[in-house]
This record gives sequence, C-alpha cells and structure tokens, in this order.
Amino acid sequence: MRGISAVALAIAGCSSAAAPPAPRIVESTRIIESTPKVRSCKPEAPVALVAELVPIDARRARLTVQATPTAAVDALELALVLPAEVTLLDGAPALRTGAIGAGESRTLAATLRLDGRAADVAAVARVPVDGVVMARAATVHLGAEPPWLRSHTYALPDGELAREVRP
Amino acid sequence: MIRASRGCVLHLGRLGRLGPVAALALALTACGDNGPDPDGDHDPADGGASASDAAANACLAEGATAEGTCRDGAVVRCVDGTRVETEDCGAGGACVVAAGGARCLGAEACAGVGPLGRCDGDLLWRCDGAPALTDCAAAGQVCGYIDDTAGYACVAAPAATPLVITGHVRWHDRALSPGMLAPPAAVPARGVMVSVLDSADTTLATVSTADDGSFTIRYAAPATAQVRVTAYSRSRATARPVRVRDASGYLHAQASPPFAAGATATVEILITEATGARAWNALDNMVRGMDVVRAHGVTTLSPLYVYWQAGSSTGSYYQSGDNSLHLDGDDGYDDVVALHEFGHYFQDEYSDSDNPGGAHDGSPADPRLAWGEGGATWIAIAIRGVPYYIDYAAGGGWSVELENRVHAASLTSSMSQNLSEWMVAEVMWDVSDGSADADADAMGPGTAPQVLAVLLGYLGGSHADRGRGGVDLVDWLDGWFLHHGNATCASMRTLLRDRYRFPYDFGGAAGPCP
Repeated sequence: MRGISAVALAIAGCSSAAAPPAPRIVESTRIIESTPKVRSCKPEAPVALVAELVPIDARRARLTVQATPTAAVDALELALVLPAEVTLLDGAPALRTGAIGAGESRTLAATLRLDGRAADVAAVARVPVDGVVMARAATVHLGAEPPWLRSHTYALPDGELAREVRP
Repeated sequence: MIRASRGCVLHLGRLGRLGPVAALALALTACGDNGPDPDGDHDPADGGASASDAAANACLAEGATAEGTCRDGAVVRCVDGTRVETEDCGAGGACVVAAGGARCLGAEACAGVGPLGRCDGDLLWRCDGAPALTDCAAAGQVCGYIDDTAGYACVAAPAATPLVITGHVRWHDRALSPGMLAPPAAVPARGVMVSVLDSADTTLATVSTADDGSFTIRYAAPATAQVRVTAYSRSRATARPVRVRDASGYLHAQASPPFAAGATATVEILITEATGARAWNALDNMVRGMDVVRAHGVTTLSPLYVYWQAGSSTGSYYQSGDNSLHLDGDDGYDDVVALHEFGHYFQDEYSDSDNPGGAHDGSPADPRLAWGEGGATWIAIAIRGVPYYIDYAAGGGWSVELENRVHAASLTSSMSQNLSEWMVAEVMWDVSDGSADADADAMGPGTAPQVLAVLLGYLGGSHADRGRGGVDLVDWLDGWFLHHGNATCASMRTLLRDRYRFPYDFGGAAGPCP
C-alpha cells in the first residue's frame, strides 16, 4: 500500500504543471530619479523627482516620492498613477501645495501591493510656469521584468553596426 | 474632369493643330453635320455618312482609341466606339500609359511612392515632379532597384540575381495628442534600408522601401543557403540621409525568420513597441522633416544621426558639431519633441541661431534662446500642422496650445528684452497659419512657405543683426519685410504690438513701414 501511494504521488508530481512563483514586487530597494537634464534642449518642468521603493515582503513595498522645484513655483501637485494591478494600501495618492521656493521639497509616501505579475507605477509632479502647467514623471517598474529580447550584432558592408532582433 | 466631344462640344485647341480648313471639316464631322442624306436612312450609299459613322469619325479625327492616349496632360479615349472623352489630369497629376491603357494619376498617387520610386510587380512608379507609371515588362524589362540615388527603375532582367522577394516593412505608431497616445497602429516604414543576408551575415542585396513600406529586392544565393530579410533604422536615400542608432551606436534592425533561398517570395516585417517601434518613429519624423525642407528648395541635405534607446535618460537635444540628435528614452513617441530637435538641425544646417543653450522652461529668457527654441518649436508644429507643443509621459505629460495662447512681452521695454520661447512660436504660427487660422489673428494671409523663405533665404545667408546681438526674433522680422515687402505692415503692427505687446520698431533694412 505504501508503495502504491508513493507511485501515485510520483505520477501526480510529474503531471501537475507547477505554477510559476509570483515575482517579488521588487528585489531590493530601488531609487529612480528624474531631474531637469543639463544637456536637454527641450523645455522641462523646473522640478526634480526622486522615487524610492523599499520592499516590505514579496508583494508589498513602501514608495516614497520627493519633489523639489528647481525654481520658485506658485503651486505643486504630486500624484501617483496606479494601474489596476497595483493596490494602494495606505498613504495618499496625491498631494497639492501652494507656492514653494526653489530647493524646498514635498514628499508623498504610500504602501503598494502588486496583485499582478508586473506593472509600472508613475509619480508625476506638475508645476505652473508662466501660465503653462508643466509635468515631470518618474516611473518605477514592479514585479517581473519584461521578457528579454534576443539580439544579434554585426557590421554592415560600409562598417555601420547593427543590432538585429528577430521576434 | 471629363469632357465629352459629342454634338458641338469642340476641342478647338486640339483641332487647331490640323490647320483651319481640316479643323473645321473635322469639327463639323464631330458635330454630326454630315451633309445631305436624301432619304434620311443614314445609308452611306446615299453619299452622306450615318450618325454612327460620324461619331466613329470623331474618334478617328482625334486619334482616340478605346484604350486611350495621353495628350497635353489629359487622357483622350474613344468611349462606346461612338464618342471622344477627354479627362484632364489636373494640376500635379499626369496622364500615364501602362497595362494596356491610358489613365490619370493624381498627385495623391505619389503619397506611397517617395523619392526612390516603387515597384508594383513590373510596373514602375516614379514621382519626380509628377506621377509616372511605366510598364517595364512591355519593354522586356523588370522593375528593380539600381542604387540609393536612382532608386527603382526598369532594368534588364538580371541573370545574376534571379531570386526576388517583395514585401512590406511596417511599424507600430501611436498617434500623439495632448495628454494621450493612441493605441498602436501599423504604418509604412518610409524609405528604410532593407537587405537580404545569408547565415554568415553577408549582405546579398540592399534596397530601400517605397513610401508605402513596400520593397522589391533581387538577389542571388545557392538554393541550399539560408537567408533572411532585415530592415534597418536608416534611410540611405540622398534625399533623406538619416539613421537612428541605439545608445551604443548600433542601428536598430529587425529580421524575418530565416528561410531557404528562393523558397519565399514575400516577406512582411512588423516592428512593434516591444521590438523597438519608437526608434522607427524617430526615423519617420526625420524623413518627414527632410521632405518638408527639400520641398522648399534645399536640394542637398546633410546627414543626420539620431540616437534613441529604450530606458535611456540622456535628455533630448541636438548637437551641431556632428549633426547628432539625441532623444530621451521617454521621447520615442513624442513627435513634437523629435521635430523640435529636427528644428535645431534645420537652424544649424540651413538657417541661423545663436542659442546659448541651457535649461529652459518657457518663461522669459535671453532672446537668442527664445529664438532658437521658439523657432525650433515652430518648425515642429508647422511640419505637423497642429499648433500644440506636446511632451508625453506617464500620467499624460504636458502640452502648450500655441494658437490662442499669448505669452506677451512688454511694450514699455526694449526689443532686446527677455522673451518667452512660446511667444516666438506663437508669433510665427500666427504669421504662417493662413487658411488654418482659428483665432482670426491680424496676419491672415501669411503661409508657412513664406516663413520658411525667411528662415532659409534671409537668416540662412548673411543678414543684419538688430535687437539683441545674435539671431533673435527681431532679425527674423526684419527678414520678413525684406523678403515679402511692406504690404503686411499694418497687420504685423496689430499682431506684434497689440496682441503680443512686443515693441518691434519696423526699422529693418526693408525701410520704414508706412
């Protein structure tokens, strides 16, 4: 009897498709920055964003976003853009302040839970400049990384290099 | 437009070539006045031609056949064997004879052709001024690719490259509007490089796609060879010399699955967001910009090297020393940002700017910076025909409407005052928007070609320097009056002083405004 049970378990073990383990929300603390680029020539919102994501457990993480205007602004709005795969467990999804000076910071903190396999969460800072509401975003990827796209590199006859993908 | 030459609708212009007597005789024939017919039975034996004979004579008189012929930009054909119809192919159109008949091709037929032509089987499409369609097979030839200057042409059936592959390259575009990107939609990859390679990465043949994304490539390879078709993010045409590389300097490329040489005659390549469509969007924006520049008289375009890679955070900027245009990883679908940077390439190569650079946010700044940035933004919105600066990002990004908004200067300050780059773009849009004018600004009749004429013809050459030292809005305004005269003085005064509160003195080299 014991032998039959062992065989049955072995068959069950071989035939059941083991579900892939749910990816962790983030492997380790991750910091994403978005600031006015020194070399950039496009008009940019005069505000710097730093987002820090600290894992709590496999599915939860603490997100802290700091917005720091690089010039005095009349108002600042800081908001999270949360997709359906992410639940806000605590904290506010947005904050608004009045005028603040250059170098002063405002911080938004929230605890997030990843319900799907992967998602992108964005923090967006909006500031008015000369009548135009400009924005800056910092995007944090949660969960499984996108599938790796295999590529192949070589030189063309004129020496130009190419990185070729084959979906 | 089709005109029927029946009854007494005469084409005297055409008949006039025959001389007055013959023309009159033929005209009368065409009108059906065929002389006496004593018993009225239209019997030719009576000495008078029947009505059907008369009509047939009309076709004969004009040399019209059922298949049609081309004359003076029109199709002339005999319809129902009884009457002559003339179809005027219109401005920009052309009459072509191919596949056994004549037909009109409108200017719109060129939308999918491009500067290197297109093969449709062995029919050759060219649009070098007007559309032209040639049946290569009728001359015992095939449609094939010569090189990156001549493009597609009728060529002798090449014994050395017996294998042929046709197909399309497309990429997923996402249309940009304020606050959103549309869902992906496949669009043609215009003018991109396509090669056949063997398994050792040896290039066997290279062509460019037409503007409908189609390609025809002839090659030779042993029947046992494994080959593939690869599209590269590069336009090799001398009319559009641009390539897009990743941050490491590699062209983006996407290949078909490999197949046995000769086994496949059709290859379709679709580049998706996951496989790098944003790079192809950058390429297409540059192709679009170069087409506009070329259409305004610049015959030789300088090479442009674009860098884009997913996830990069280089910022978006143009570097004049090496004609490199860098797009931030976040700006792959940002057509306006890409074309704004193209505007800096335009200024650098064909016009003028003394932009000191540095961070800017649209608030009043050095007038040279305002000119450089605002002028580049005008190039972007003029190419798109939509008066919005848009920088898309997660959460929707941000945008500025440039038709109705007014970022005014100060009438009580000098012409050298700090200005908003938005004001420069707004003024140029108001001057150029012509029939697209939604805000009924004072400069109703101006057009984008007129603005470009000043950018190319005045600022692109030696010019005076007023206002702030270096190129600024004042210099462009001086050029406007020098190029287009003082007829717009009153409306420009209303636009500049009343609407934008800019104290331009109307004192350029064109002389004082009345």
